[in-house]
Amino acid sequence: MRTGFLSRLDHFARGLLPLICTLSVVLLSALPLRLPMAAMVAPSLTLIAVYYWTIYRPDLLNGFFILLLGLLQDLLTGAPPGVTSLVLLLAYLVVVSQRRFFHGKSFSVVWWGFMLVAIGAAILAWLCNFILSGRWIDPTGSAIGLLLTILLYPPLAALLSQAHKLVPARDADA
Amino acid sequence: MAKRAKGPEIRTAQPLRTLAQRLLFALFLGSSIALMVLGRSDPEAFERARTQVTDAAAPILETLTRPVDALNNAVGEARNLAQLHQENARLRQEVARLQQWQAVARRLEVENIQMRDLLAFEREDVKRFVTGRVIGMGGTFVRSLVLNVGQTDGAQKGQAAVTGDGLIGRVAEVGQRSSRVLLITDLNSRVPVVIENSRARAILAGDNTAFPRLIYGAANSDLTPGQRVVTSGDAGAFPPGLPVGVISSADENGVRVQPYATDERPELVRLMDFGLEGVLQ
Repeated sequence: MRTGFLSRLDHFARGLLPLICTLSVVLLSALPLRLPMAAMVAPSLTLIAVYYWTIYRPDLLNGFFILLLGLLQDLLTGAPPGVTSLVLLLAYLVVVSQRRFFHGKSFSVVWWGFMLVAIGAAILAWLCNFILSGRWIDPTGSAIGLLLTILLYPPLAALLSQAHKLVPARDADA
Repeated sequence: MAKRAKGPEIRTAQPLRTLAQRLLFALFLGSSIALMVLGRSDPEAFERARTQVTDAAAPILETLTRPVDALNNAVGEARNLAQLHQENARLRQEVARLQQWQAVARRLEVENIQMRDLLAFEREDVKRFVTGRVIGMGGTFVRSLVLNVGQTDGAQKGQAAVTGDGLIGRVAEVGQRSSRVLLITDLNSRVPVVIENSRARAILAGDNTAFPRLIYGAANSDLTPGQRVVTSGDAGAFPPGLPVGVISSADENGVRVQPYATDERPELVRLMDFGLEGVLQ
Protein backbone atom coordinates (compact mmCIF):
# COMPACT_ATOMS: atom_id res chain seq x y z
CA MET A 1 0.00 0.00 0.00
CA ARG A 2 2.76 2.32 1.08
CA THR A 3 4.93 1.52 -1.87
CA GLY A 4 1.91 1.79 -4.10
CA PHE A 5 1.21 5.28 -2.82
CA LEU A 6 4.86 6.29 -3.11
CA SER A 7 5.16 5.02 -6.63
CA ARG A 8 1.98 6.82 -7.59
CA LEU A 9 3.34 9.98 -6.01
CA ASP A 10 6.60 9.47 -7.86
CA HIS A 11 4.70 8.93 -11.07
CA PHE A 12 2.65 12.07 -10.49
CA ALA A 13 5.72 14.16 -9.69
CA ARG A 14 7.49 13.00 -12.82
CA GLY A 15 4.42 13.91 -14.83
CA LEU A 16 4.78 17.43 -13.48
CA LEU A 17 8.32 17.73 -14.84
CA PRO A 18 7.40 19.50 -18.10
CA LEU A 19 5.47 22.08 -16.11
CA ILE A 20 8.29 22.51 -13.58
CA CYS A 21 10.89 22.82 -16.33
CA THR A 22 8.87 25.50 -18.09
CA LEU A 23 8.25 27.35 -14.84
CA SER A 24 11.99 27.30 -14.09
CA VAL A 25 12.69 28.68 -17.54
CA VAL A 26 10.17 31.50 -16.94
CA LEU A 27 12.01 32.41 -13.72
CA LEU A 28 15.35 32.08 -15.48
CA SER A 29 14.30 34.55 -18.16
CA ALA A 30 13.53 37.15 -15.48
CA LEU A 31 17.01 36.83 -13.93
CA PRO A 32 19.59 39.52 -14.64
CA LEU A 33 21.94 37.35 -16.68
CA ARG A 34 24.90 39.02 -18.31
CA LEU A 35 25.01 37.44 -21.70
CA PRO A 36 27.10 39.12 -24.36
CA MET A 37 25.22 42.14 -25.76
CA ALA A 38 23.21 41.75 -22.61
CA ALA A 39 21.27 44.94 -22.47
CA MET A 40 19.24 44.94 -25.64
CA VAL A 41 18.29 41.32 -26.17
CA ALA A 42 16.36 38.74 -24.26
CA PRO A 43 16.15 35.29 -25.81
CA SER A 44 12.73 33.69 -25.53
CA LEU A 45 13.74 30.67 -23.47
CA THR A 46 10.13 29.96 -22.57
CA LEU A 47 9.30 29.43 -26.23
CA ILE A 48 12.03 26.77 -26.40
CA ALA A 49 10.56 24.90 -23.44
CA VAL A 50 7.00 25.15 -24.74
CA TYR A 51 8.05 24.00 -28.21
CA TYR A 52 9.98 21.05 -26.82
CA TRP A 53 7.21 19.78 -24.58
CA THR A 54 4.52 20.43 -27.16
CA ILE A 55 6.27 18.17 -29.63
CA TYR A 56 6.99 15.34 -27.21
CA ARG A 57 4.41 15.60 -24.43
CA PRO A 58 1.59 18.05 -25.21
CA ASP A 59 -0.64 16.16 -22.77
CA LEU A 60 1.51 17.31 -19.84
CA LEU A 61 1.62 20.98 -20.71
CA ASN A 62 -1.85 22.11 -21.69
CA GLY A 63 -3.23 25.44 -22.82
CA PHE A 64 -4.28 26.55 -19.36
CA PHE A 65 -0.77 26.18 -17.95
CA ILE A 66 0.68 27.98 -20.96
CA LEU A 67 -1.74 30.86 -20.43
CA LEU A 68 -0.68 31.10 -16.76
CA LEU A 69 3.04 30.73 -17.43
CA GLY A 70 2.93 33.41 -20.12
CA LEU A 71 1.08 35.76 -17.80
CA LEU A 72 3.57 35.06 -15.01
CA GLN A 73 6.45 35.93 -17.31
CA ASP A 74 4.76 39.16 -18.42
CA LEU A 75 4.11 40.18 -14.83
CA LEU A 76 7.65 39.33 -13.74
CA THR A 77 9.37 41.16 -16.56
CA GLY A 78 6.95 44.10 -16.52
CA ALA A 79 5.83 43.53 -20.10
CA PRO A 80 2.27 44.27 -21.28
CA PRO A 81 0.20 41.39 -19.83
CA GLY A 82 -1.16 38.75 -22.19
CA VAL A 83 1.34 39.11 -25.04
CA THR A 84 3.57 36.20 -24.02
CA SER A 85 0.49 34.06 -23.30
CA LEU A 86 -0.91 34.73 -26.76
CA VAL A 87 2.41 34.07 -28.49
CA LEU A 88 3.00 30.83 -26.58
CA LEU A 89 -0.59 29.60 -27.09
CA LEU A 90 -0.43 30.20 -30.83
CA ALA A 91 2.96 28.49 -30.99
CA TYR A 92 1.43 25.56 -29.10
CA LEU A 93 -1.47 25.44 -31.55
CA VAL A 94 0.81 25.44 -34.57
CA VAL A 95 3.16 22.83 -33.16
CA VAL A 96 0.37 20.53 -31.96
CA SER A 97 -1.13 20.49 -35.44
CA GLN A 98 2.24 19.64 -36.97
CA ARG A 99 3.81 17.51 -34.27
CA ARG A 100 3.31 14.20 -36.01
CA PHE A 101 5.57 15.50 -38.73
CA PHE A 102 8.38 16.03 -36.21
CA HIS A 103 8.19 12.60 -34.61
CA GLY A 104 11.14 10.41 -35.41
CA LYS A 105 12.73 13.17 -37.43
CA SER A 106 16.36 14.11 -36.91
CA PHE A 107 17.30 16.85 -34.51
CA SER A 108 18.08 19.27 -37.33
CA VAL A 109 14.52 18.96 -38.67
CA VAL A 110 13.10 19.70 -35.23
CA TRP A 111 15.48 22.64 -34.90
CA TRP A 112 14.45 23.90 -38.34
CA GLY A 113 10.81 23.69 -37.25
CA PHE A 114 11.68 25.64 -34.14
CA MET A 115 13.33 28.31 -36.26
CA LEU A 116 10.08 28.84 -38.20
CA VAL A 117 8.01 28.94 -35.01
CA ALA A 118 10.48 31.34 -33.36
CA ILE A 119 10.41 33.70 -36.34
CA GLY A 120 6.61 33.76 -36.27
CA ALA A 121 6.60 34.26 -32.49
CA ALA A 122 9.10 37.12 -32.68
CA ILE A 123 7.09 38.91 -35.36
CA LEU A 124 3.86 38.44 -33.43
CA ALA A 125 5.40 39.64 -30.16
CA TRP A 126 6.82 42.70 -31.90
CA LEU A 127 3.49 43.43 -33.55
CA CYS A 128 1.55 43.11 -30.28
CA ASN A 129 3.95 45.43 -28.48
CA PHE A 130 3.85 47.88 -31.37
CA ILE A 131 0.04 47.97 -31.32
CA LEU A 132 -0.21 48.12 -27.53
CA SER A 133 2.37 50.88 -27.10
CA GLY A 134 1.25 52.81 -30.18
CA ARG A 135 4.87 53.72 -30.87
CA TRP A 136 7.46 52.48 -33.30
CA ILE A 137 9.80 49.96 -31.70
CA ASP A 138 13.24 49.38 -33.12
CA PRO A 139 13.07 45.76 -34.33
CA THR A 140 16.85 45.22 -34.01
CA GLY A 141 16.49 44.03 -30.42
CA SER A 142 13.81 41.53 -31.44
CA ALA A 143 15.91 40.29 -34.35
CA ILE A 144 19.00 39.68 -32.22
CA GLY A 145 16.84 38.13 -29.51
CA LEU A 146 15.35 35.82 -32.14
CA LEU A 147 18.80 34.79 -33.36
CA LEU A 148 19.89 34.10 -29.80
CA THR A 149 16.70 32.09 -29.17
CA ILE A 150 17.39 29.91 -32.21
CA LEU A 151 21.02 29.42 -31.21
CA LEU A 152 20.10 28.55 -27.63
CA TYR A 153 17.64 25.86 -28.73
CA PRO A 154 20.17 22.98 -29.00
CA PRO A 155 21.73 23.37 -25.53
CA LEU A 156 18.40 23.97 -23.78
CA ALA A 157 16.72 21.12 -25.68
CA ALA A 158 19.58 18.85 -24.59
CA LEU A 159 18.88 19.79 -20.96
CA LEU A 160 15.15 19.28 -21.43
CA SER A 161 15.71 15.87 -23.01
CA GLN A 162 17.47 14.84 -19.79
CA ALA A 163 14.33 15.78 -17.88
CA HIS A 164 12.28 14.04 -20.58
CA LYS A 165 13.93 10.72 -19.69
CA LEU A 166 12.39 10.95 -16.22
CA VAL A 167 8.87 11.64 -17.48
CA PRO A 168 6.75 8.48 -17.45
CA ALA A 169 5.68 7.25 -20.87
CA ARG A 170 2.14 8.04 -21.87
CA ASP A 171 1.17 4.34 -21.87
CA ALA A 172 1.78 4.13 -18.16
CA ASP A 173 -1.08 6.55 -17.50
CA ALA A 174 -4.61 5.28 -17.63
CA MET B 1 15.64 12.12 -28.31
CA ALA B 2 12.17 11.65 -29.63
CA LYS B 3 12.41 7.97 -30.20
CA ARG B 4 10.57 6.90 -27.06
CA ALA B 5 7.49 8.79 -28.15
CA LYS B 6 7.20 6.90 -31.40
CA GLY B 7 4.69 4.13 -31.79
CA PRO B 8 1.10 3.47 -30.84
CA GLU B 9 0.76 6.30 -28.37
CA ILE B 10 0.82 8.81 -31.22
CA ARG B 11 -2.72 7.84 -32.05
CA THR B 12 -3.94 8.71 -28.59
CA ALA B 13 -1.88 11.88 -28.52
CA GLN B 14 -4.27 14.31 -30.08
CA PRO B 15 -4.58 17.00 -27.44
CA LEU B 16 -6.86 19.15 -29.56
CA ARG B 17 -8.97 16.31 -30.87
CA THR B 18 -12.39 16.83 -29.43
CA LEU B 19 -14.66 19.79 -29.90
CA ALA B 20 -14.70 20.55 -26.16
CA GLN B 21 -10.94 20.72 -26.11
CA ARG B 22 -10.91 23.02 -29.08
CA LEU B 23 -13.45 25.30 -27.46
CA LEU B 24 -11.44 25.30 -24.27
CA PHE B 25 -8.31 26.23 -26.17
CA ALA B 26 -10.16 29.02 -27.96
CA LEU B 27 -11.20 30.24 -24.53
CA PHE B 28 -7.55 30.37 -23.43
CA LEU B 29 -6.59 32.24 -26.59
CA GLY B 30 -9.45 34.66 -26.02
CA SER B 31 -8.34 35.13 -22.40
CA SER B 32 -4.85 36.12 -23.46
CA ILE B 33 -6.26 38.70 -25.86
CA ALA B 34 -8.64 39.92 -23.14
CA LEU B 35 -5.63 40.29 -20.84
CA MET B 36 -3.91 42.45 -23.44
CA VAL B 37 -6.96 44.67 -23.83
CA LEU B 38 -7.45 44.90 -20.07
CA GLY B 39 -3.79 45.67 -19.52
CA ARG B 40 -4.16 48.54 -21.95
CA SER B 41 -7.43 49.92 -20.55
CA ASP B 42 -6.81 49.35 -16.85
CA PRO B 43 -3.05 49.44 -16.28
CA GLU B 44 -3.46 50.07 -12.56
CA ALA B 45 -5.09 46.70 -11.88
CA PHE B 46 -2.12 45.02 -13.53
CA GLU B 47 0.31 47.22 -11.69
CA ARG B 48 -1.03 45.79 -8.46
CA ALA B 49 -0.91 42.24 -9.80
CA ARG B 50 2.61 42.82 -11.04
CA THR B 51 3.74 44.19 -7.68
CA GLN B 52 2.24 41.22 -5.87
CA VAL B 53 3.73 38.65 -8.22
CA THR B 54 7.13 40.34 -8.10
CA ASP B 55 6.95 40.56 -4.33
CA ALA B 56 6.12 36.87 -4.08
CA ALA B 57 8.88 35.90 -6.48
CA ALA B 58 11.47 38.24 -4.96
CA PRO B 59 12.94 35.74 -2.47
CA ILE B 60 13.25 33.10 -5.20
CA LEU B 61 14.79 35.53 -7.65
CA GLU B 62 17.15 36.84 -5.00
CA THR B 63 18.38 33.35 -4.18
CA LEU B 64 18.84 32.53 -7.85
CA THR B 65 20.62 35.82 -8.50
CA ARG B 66 23.44 35.09 -6.04
CA PRO B 67 25.17 32.36 -8.07
CA VAL B 68 24.54 34.35 -11.26
CA ASP B 69 26.23 37.38 -9.73
CA ALA B 70 29.10 35.23 -8.47
CA LEU B 71 29.57 33.81 -11.97
CA ASN B 72 29.43 37.27 -13.52
CA ASN B 73 32.04 38.47 -11.06
CA ALA B 74 34.31 35.52 -11.73
CA VAL B 75 34.19 36.21 -15.46
CA GLY B 76 34.89 39.89 -14.81
CA GLU B 77 37.84 39.02 -12.54
CA ALA B 78 39.36 36.74 -15.13
CA ARG B 79 39.05 39.45 -17.73
CA ASN B 80 40.63 41.98 -15.37
CA LEU B 81 43.59 39.71 -14.62
CA ALA B 82 44.40 39.53 -18.30
CA GLN B 83 44.54 43.30 -18.59
CA LEU B 84 46.13 44.06 -15.25
CA HIS B 85 49.26 45.66 -16.60
CA GLN B 86 47.55 48.07 -18.98
CA GLU B 87 44.91 48.83 -16.42
CA ASN B 88 47.57 49.77 -13.88
CA ALA B 89 49.22 52.22 -16.23
CA ARG B 90 45.86 53.75 -17.13
CA LEU B 91 44.85 54.08 -13.50
CA ARG B 92 48.14 55.81 -12.59
CA GLN B 93 47.47 58.41 -15.24
CA GLU B 94 43.93 58.82 -14.03
CA VAL B 95 45.02 59.22 -10.42
CA ALA B 96 47.39 61.99 -11.47
CA ARG B 97 44.61 63.70 -13.38
CA LEU B 98 42.07 63.29 -10.58
CA GLN B 99 44.50 64.67 -8.01
CA GLN B 100 44.46 67.92 -9.93
CA TRP B 101 40.67 67.79 -9.90
CA GLN B 102 40.67 67.09 -6.22
CA ALA B 103 42.72 70.21 -5.62
CA VAL B 104 40.24 72.19 -7.68
CA ALA B 105 37.29 70.61 -5.84
CA ARG B 106 38.79 71.39 -2.44
CA ARG B 107 39.34 74.99 -3.40
CA LEU B 108 35.77 75.24 -4.74
CA GLU B 109 34.33 73.58 -1.65
CA VAL B 110 35.99 76.12 0.61
CA GLU B 111 34.79 78.90 -1.65
CA ASN B 112 31.29 77.39 -1.65
CA ILE B 113 31.16 77.21 2.12
CA GLN B 114 32.28 80.79 2.41
CA MET B 115 29.65 81.95 -0.08
CA ARG B 116 26.91 79.91 1.56
CA ASP B 117 27.81 81.50 4.85
CA LEU B 118 27.44 84.85 3.17
CA LEU B 119 24.00 83.91 1.83
CA ALA B 120 22.81 81.98 4.86
CA PHE B 121 21.88 79.31 2.29
CA GLU B 122 20.52 75.98 3.45
CA ARG B 123 20.74 73.08 1.07
CA GLU B 124 17.83 70.68 1.17
CA ASP B 125 19.11 67.84 -0.84
CA VAL B 126 19.45 64.14 -0.52
CA LYS B 127 17.66 62.91 2.54
CA ARG B 128 18.79 59.34 2.28
CA PHE B 129 19.82 56.56 -0.02
CA VAL B 130 18.44 53.07 -0.35
CA THR B 131 20.70 50.55 -2.04
CA GLY B 132 19.09 47.58 -3.72
CA ARG B 133 20.40 44.44 -5.33
CA VAL B 134 19.19 43.79 -8.87
CA ILE B 135 17.25 40.53 -8.83
CA GLY B 136 15.31 40.72 -12.06
CA MET B 137 15.03 42.45 -15.38
CA GLY B 138 12.66 43.16 -18.23
CA GLY B 139 12.49 41.51 -21.62
CA THR B 140 12.98 42.56 -25.22
CA PHE B 141 10.23 45.15 -25.06
CA VAL B 142 10.72 46.38 -21.50
CA ARG B 143 13.80 48.01 -20.06
CA SER B 144 13.36 47.56 -16.35
CA LEU B 145 15.10 46.16 -13.30
CA VAL B 146 13.64 44.50 -10.23
CA LEU B 147 15.34 45.43 -6.96
CA ASN B 148 15.17 43.55 -3.66
CA VAL B 149 14.14 46.65 -1.71
CA GLY B 150 10.54 47.72 -1.20
CA GLN B 151 8.38 49.94 0.95
CA THR B 152 9.74 48.47 4.17
CA ASP B 153 13.26 49.50 3.13
CA GLY B 154 12.23 53.02 2.18
CA ALA B 155 11.82 52.66 -1.58
CA GLN B 156 9.14 54.93 -3.00
CA LYS B 157 7.55 55.48 -6.34
CA GLY B 158 9.25 58.25 -8.28
CA GLN B 159 12.67 57.99 -6.66
CA ALA B 160 15.65 58.45 -8.93
CA ALA B 161 17.69 55.28 -9.46
CA VAL B 162 21.40 55.83 -9.98
CA THR B 163 24.56 53.79 -10.34
CA GLY B 164 28.05 55.14 -9.80
CA ASP B 165 28.01 56.47 -13.36
CA GLY B 166 24.79 58.45 -13.33
CA LEU B 167 21.03 58.27 -13.62
CA ILE B 168 19.77 54.87 -14.71
CA GLY B 169 16.00 55.22 -14.24
CA ARG B 170 13.22 55.87 -11.79
CA VAL B 171 11.15 53.71 -9.46
CA ALA B 172 7.91 52.85 -11.26
CA GLU B 173 6.34 50.30 -8.93
CA VAL B 174 6.94 49.49 -5.29
CA GLY B 175 5.91 46.40 -3.38
CA GLN B 176 6.58 45.35 0.19
CA ARG B 177 10.01 43.90 -0.48
CA SER B 178 10.65 44.56 -4.15
CA SER B 179 10.50 47.47 -6.52
CA ARG B 180 10.68 47.94 -10.27
CA VAL B 181 12.92 50.53 -11.86
CA LEU B 182 11.97 51.81 -15.30
CA LEU B 183 15.25 52.46 -17.13
CA ILE B 184 15.77 55.70 -19.04
CA THR B 185 16.10 53.64 -22.22
CA ASP B 186 12.57 52.19 -21.88
CA LEU B 187 9.90 53.09 -24.39
CA ASN B 188 7.79 54.73 -21.68
CA SER B 189 10.56 56.68 -19.98
CA ARG B 190 10.46 60.51 -20.12
CA VAL B 191 13.01 62.51 -18.16
CA PRO B 192 13.17 66.32 -18.13
CA VAL B 193 16.80 67.21 -18.82
CA VAL B 194 18.94 70.22 -19.50
CA ILE B 195 22.12 70.62 -21.58
CA GLU B 196 24.72 71.50 -19.01
CA ASN B 197 26.57 74.32 -20.74
CA SER B 198 23.81 75.91 -22.81
CA ARG B 199 21.02 75.35 -20.25
CA ALA B 200 18.73 74.33 -23.14
CA ARG B 201 15.85 72.22 -21.85
CA ALA B 202 14.52 69.05 -23.44
CA ILE B 203 12.91 65.72 -22.64
CA LEU B 204 14.96 62.55 -22.77
CA ALA B 205 12.70 59.92 -24.32
CA GLY B 206 13.62 56.24 -24.29
CA ASP B 207 12.82 54.08 -27.31
CA ASN B 208 14.19 50.69 -26.24
CA THR B 209 17.53 51.37 -27.94
CA ALA B 210 20.73 52.00 -26.01
CA PHE B 211 20.63 55.66 -27.08
CA PRO B 212 17.54 57.55 -25.90
CA ARG B 213 16.42 60.57 -27.90
CA LEU B 214 16.15 64.21 -26.94
CA ILE B 215 12.72 65.57 -27.84
CA TYR B 216 10.82 68.82 -27.45
CA GLY B 217 14.08 70.77 -27.31
CA ALA B 218 14.13 74.40 -28.43
CA ALA B 219 14.71 74.42 -32.18
CA ASN B 220 17.53 76.95 -32.11
CA SER B 221 19.49 75.41 -29.28
CA ASP B 222 22.79 74.31 -30.74
CA LEU B 223 23.21 70.71 -29.83
CA THR B 224 26.54 69.12 -30.64
CA PRO B 225 27.92 65.71 -29.80
CA GLY B 226 29.88 65.65 -26.57
CA GLN B 227 27.68 68.05 -24.61
CA ARG B 228 26.78 66.86 -21.13
CA VAL B 229 23.13 66.19 -20.31
CA VAL B 230 21.88 66.40 -16.72
CA THR B 231 18.44 66.25 -15.11
CA SER B 232 16.67 69.60 -15.04
CA GLY B 233 14.50 68.99 -12.02
CA ASP B 234 11.43 70.20 -13.94
CA ALA B 235 8.13 68.71 -12.80
CA GLY B 236 9.79 67.77 -9.54
CA ALA B 237 10.35 64.24 -10.70
CA PHE B 238 14.09 64.27 -10.24
CA PRO B 239 16.51 66.48 -8.37
CA PRO B 240 18.31 68.86 -10.73
CA GLY B 241 21.86 68.22 -11.87
CA LEU B 242 22.02 64.41 -11.82
CA PRO B 243 24.41 63.31 -14.58
CA VAL B 244 22.51 61.51 -17.35
CA GLY B 245 24.84 61.24 -20.36
CA VAL B 246 26.47 62.98 -23.29
CA ILE B 247 25.00 63.80 -26.68
CA SER B 248 26.26 61.09 -29.00
CA SER B 249 24.78 62.29 -32.29
CA ALA B 250 22.86 65.30 -33.48
CA ASP B 251 21.61 65.40 -37.07
CA GLU B 252 18.41 65.57 -39.07
CA ASN B 253 17.40 62.18 -37.66
CA GLY B 254 17.23 63.66 -34.20
CA VAL B 255 19.48 64.01 -31.21
CA ARG B 256 20.58 60.94 -29.30
CA VAL B 257 22.20 60.64 -25.92
CA GLN B 258 24.74 58.10 -24.73
CA PRO B 259 23.85 57.50 -21.06
CA TYR B 260 26.70 57.47 -18.54
CA ALA B 261 25.22 54.37 -16.99
CA THR B 262 25.85 52.06 -19.95
CA ASP B 263 25.57 48.90 -17.89
CA GLU B 264 21.87 48.07 -18.02
CA ARG B 265 22.36 45.15 -15.69
CA PRO B 266 24.27 46.49 -12.73
CA GLU B 267 24.53 44.41 -9.58
CA LEU B 268 23.56 47.22 -7.22
CA VAL B 269 21.41 50.30 -7.75
CA ARG B 270 20.97 53.24 -5.41
CA LEU B 271 17.60 54.89 -4.97
CA MET B 272 17.86 58.52 -3.98
CA ASP B 273 15.18 60.03 -1.82
CA PHE B 274 15.24 63.76 -2.29
CA GLY B 275 12.01 64.27 -0.48
CA LEU B 276 10.53 65.96 -3.55
CA GLU B 277 6.81 65.81 -3.95
CA GLY B 278 6.92 65.31 -7.68
CA VAL B 279 4.13 64.45 -10.06
CA LEU B 280 5.19 60.85 -10.06
CA GLN B 281 4.67 60.26 -6.39
